[in-house]
Amino acid sequence: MENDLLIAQMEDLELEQSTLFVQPKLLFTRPKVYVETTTNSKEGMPGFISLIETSNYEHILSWTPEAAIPGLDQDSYVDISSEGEHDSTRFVAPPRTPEALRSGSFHPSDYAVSVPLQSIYSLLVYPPRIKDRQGSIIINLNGGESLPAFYFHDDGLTKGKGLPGSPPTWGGQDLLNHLEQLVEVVGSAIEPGVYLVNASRADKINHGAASPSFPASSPPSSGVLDHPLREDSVAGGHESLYPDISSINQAGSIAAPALDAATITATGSITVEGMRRRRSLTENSRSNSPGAGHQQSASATGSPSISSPGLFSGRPRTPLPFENHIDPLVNTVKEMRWNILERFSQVARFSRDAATNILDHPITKQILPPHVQQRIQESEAAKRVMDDYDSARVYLAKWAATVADQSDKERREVQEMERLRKSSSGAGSHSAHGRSGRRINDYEDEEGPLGAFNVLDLETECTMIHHSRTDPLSPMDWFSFFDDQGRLKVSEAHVRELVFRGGIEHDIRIEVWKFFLNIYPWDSTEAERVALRASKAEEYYALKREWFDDTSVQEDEAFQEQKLRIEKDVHRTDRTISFFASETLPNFSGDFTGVGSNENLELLKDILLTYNIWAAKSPSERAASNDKTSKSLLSDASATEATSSSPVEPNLLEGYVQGMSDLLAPVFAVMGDEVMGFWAFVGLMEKTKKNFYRDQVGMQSQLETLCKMIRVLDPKLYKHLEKCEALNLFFCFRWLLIWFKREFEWVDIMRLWEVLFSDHLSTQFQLFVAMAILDKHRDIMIDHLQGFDEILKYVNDLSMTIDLEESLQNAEVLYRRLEHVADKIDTKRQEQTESSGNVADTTPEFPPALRKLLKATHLSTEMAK
Amino acid sequence: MASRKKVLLKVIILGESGVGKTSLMNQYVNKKFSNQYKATIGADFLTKEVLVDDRLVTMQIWDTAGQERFQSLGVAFYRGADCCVLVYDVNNAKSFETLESWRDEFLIQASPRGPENFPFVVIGNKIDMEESKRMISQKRAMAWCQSKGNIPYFETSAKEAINVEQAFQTIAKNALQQEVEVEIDFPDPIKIDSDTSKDFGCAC
Repeated sequence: MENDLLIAQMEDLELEQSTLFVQPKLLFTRPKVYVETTTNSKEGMPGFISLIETSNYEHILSWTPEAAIPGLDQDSYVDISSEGEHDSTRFVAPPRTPEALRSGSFHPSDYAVSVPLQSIYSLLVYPPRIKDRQGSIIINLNGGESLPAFYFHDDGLTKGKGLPGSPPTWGGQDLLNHLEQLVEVVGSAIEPGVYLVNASRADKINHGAASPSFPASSPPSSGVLDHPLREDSVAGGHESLYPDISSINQAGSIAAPALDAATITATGSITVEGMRRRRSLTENSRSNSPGAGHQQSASATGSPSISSPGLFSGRPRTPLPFENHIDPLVNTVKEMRWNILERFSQVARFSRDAATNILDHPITKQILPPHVQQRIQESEAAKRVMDDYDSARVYLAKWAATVADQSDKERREVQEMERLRKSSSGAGSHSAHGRSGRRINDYEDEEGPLGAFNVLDLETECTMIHHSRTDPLSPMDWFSFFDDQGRLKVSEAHVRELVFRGGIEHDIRIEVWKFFLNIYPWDSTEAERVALRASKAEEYYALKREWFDDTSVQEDEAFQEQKLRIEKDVHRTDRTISFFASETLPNFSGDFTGVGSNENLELLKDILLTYNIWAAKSPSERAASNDKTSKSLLSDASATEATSSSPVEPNLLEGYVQGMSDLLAPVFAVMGDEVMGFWAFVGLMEKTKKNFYRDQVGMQSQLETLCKMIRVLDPKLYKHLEKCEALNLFFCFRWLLIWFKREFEWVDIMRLWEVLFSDHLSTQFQLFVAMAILDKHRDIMIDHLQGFDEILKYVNDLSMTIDLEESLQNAEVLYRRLEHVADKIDTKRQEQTESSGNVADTTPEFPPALRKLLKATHLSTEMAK
Repeated sequence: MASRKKVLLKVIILGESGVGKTSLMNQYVNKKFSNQYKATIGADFLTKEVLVDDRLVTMQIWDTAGQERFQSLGVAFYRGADCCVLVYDVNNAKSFETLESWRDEFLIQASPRGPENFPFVVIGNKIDMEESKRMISQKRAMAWCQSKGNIPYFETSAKEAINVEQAFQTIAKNALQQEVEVEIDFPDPIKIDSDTSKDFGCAC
């Protein structure tokens, strides 16, 4: 019986069907490859895995039970596998088709299987491990079927096929190496154990395996590649993309002659067929050789690839890609993945009642090639294993996020093109928030606080909201804002808005930040600022002397403890940033002997210790000292606030709290000197000090407000978090405590912080940034993460992967959206009150905590007037 | 059946800031050391699969912020813990002296069933430093551990990977024992929500 695939395959072949089963040639074989059976011993049934070439040059992968091979042929198999292939081309009986696997009879030969290489979709490679020495490969076919797992029992081999003295090659690796000579094998960057065979472009993109076939300069001819059965056209397609064949890695070009030699030896003469085959194989090995761009692009994208030895030549064991560890995070992720794969294989082993043992679980679907999912079967066993396996889910969630990100990007590109198209015809705008369509559905069955609102309307209207992000403020623009006395000609609100929208070019940060961090009054002249710098320096050094020159303070136990605490943290703050990296000074702090220090680290310590002195003073004391040092005091914002507002700050009296060093480092680095670094830090702490209050009330209220925001803007996410017992939002704690310092790279932190400094839309804009990041990942969280710990892990691991610009854009859109909801609710309540005279029962009030977030808008609009 | 269920052991590492909690966790799970781990903010965890008495279990090891200021977050992080690791720095007397309060605070916040039998393990870290810096003798630490119901005690160096494996083996073992006891006590996974403390969170 022929398999459908095989028939289709045959129809496509140029040569007559009748020649198909004439004396296939054995190109590669490996003995002691086991397949599980229902009747055999625990080990399963031993057999040979082989690569076979039919007389019409079709390549077939087959597995034949030992017991099913006729005596004569068996010798061929054994010879080839033990002697190497250089001088032997053997002819064997035609292999069986996958049909046999499902026949239900238990005759050994019924387990034999063979498939054309062109029908292979992917391989799942489980290399041998210390505990499980055999290792296995599962082969997935284009049609969605999978072959049974092949277990490579290398223990049974008396000697490896490698060069004398070299360690034996794992059979699976060997098979991969040989396969690679015949078809294109691409490692998935996302699933390093997964290898795609003659993958389509889409699959390559999905797997992050930047296709070797599509260098940036050549447009993909996917039409050609989408016909995997047409070997010639595949080869041709590749060749046209790689005109410069001479540059191809030698392994590829040597390979074909090596095979030809074998052909010649075996047949004694060069036949026409031999010539034809040589041509076709040469093309194949060129186009499929890792040298032909495959390896190159793989290393560029960080995706693994198999380095391939020459065709049929014995080589020392080539390291499998996952053995090249890159960094700890990647490692962790990889370990998790192996855990999952291991689990799959375990399950597959004990529920082998079908040839395909791929399990139907939501998360399974993420890991398997899409078409395989069709074949996925219910398995309670699998669910049991997977259900409480949190790290697997976290891993899969991450994987899903990368895929989603990719499609998100593509979607945005399409949108952008659409927008351009429309705008060229004079209409249209685009929304930064692309997920509004999804939201409409989310609201339909939710009883959100919006109650009877027509949310559909709201959603439709909200899609029209856009962000206003633009370029950073340039030095030229900045200097043009000042009159000849050096006083700002434009309004403070205007500057705030500009900085909110685009940030500041780095060169002028040192100056602009001083306005935002309350060092310079907005209406100061240049002369006043010069005077202020002097008085600020004086004031700072006076504060510093209070501990620096006073041995009694220094001997104080509490001071010592603070000092130790600060030293511990300073020495582990931003040490990768060159400003703090060097170890040019000895380290005098007790705790880190052996680790050097540098001037900037020492200054960080001094600033933090001095800040303790400053924070311990009551505002009136500060104002007094401020008065003393700067006689002609300007209407300094902080001083005004200090004298007028409540003098009590008992919360902060306890000094340094972890996280402060994270906040100080960037402002100090931007200011570049101790005095201004200190005052900039004071200014920043004015905005963030509530985060460090002993009773944590500042963090608590922010998290509560964020929670309310989620409830209003994304009821479905809210419900999910509720279900996960994650409404405390502790997974956002680090974000808010230190303003995302650990989540973004250094340069991004400066860009983010100046937006937060601006207070343009909201004085709590960090909450909208947090909301934007959650929003970006909300689908993943809802679909994949099922507990507080999983969400925490996922969110923690987002660190250094978040796109800042996108987050800021989305944060602004979310702000507008919230504003819109507030307006809607107010209007609705107003109408209801007017019509019924009764204060709206149906529409609850917009949460006051959220309304406060929106206040800044009105303030700044007022100020602008 | 309880034994067929996948076992997840939740382990919480507590102790003063800078005693090496993150380093111990990373040394154990990733076999790596760096003296520049940033101060932990909030909490994080790593998982590791281990064999304990021929049983494959997953350890979920929670690394927490060391400053007592952040202890109020503990409620969320400590819940369901199977073992608590108290870490101090043998060269820092204060970090030893605060062990007691870390232990008490843990018992209050995690409110485990049978607090008197809850498994703790004490680790004295940084034994790689020169002997002259040492502030807490082994004898003193062991005496304290004994007085607290024979808490197992280990002296380790996360930096040089001394004794880390052994300490975590014991941690895993004791955690598993705790987990098994809990399973026996409560064969049905009934959720008790009444005591979910709401220091933080959304009351909207």
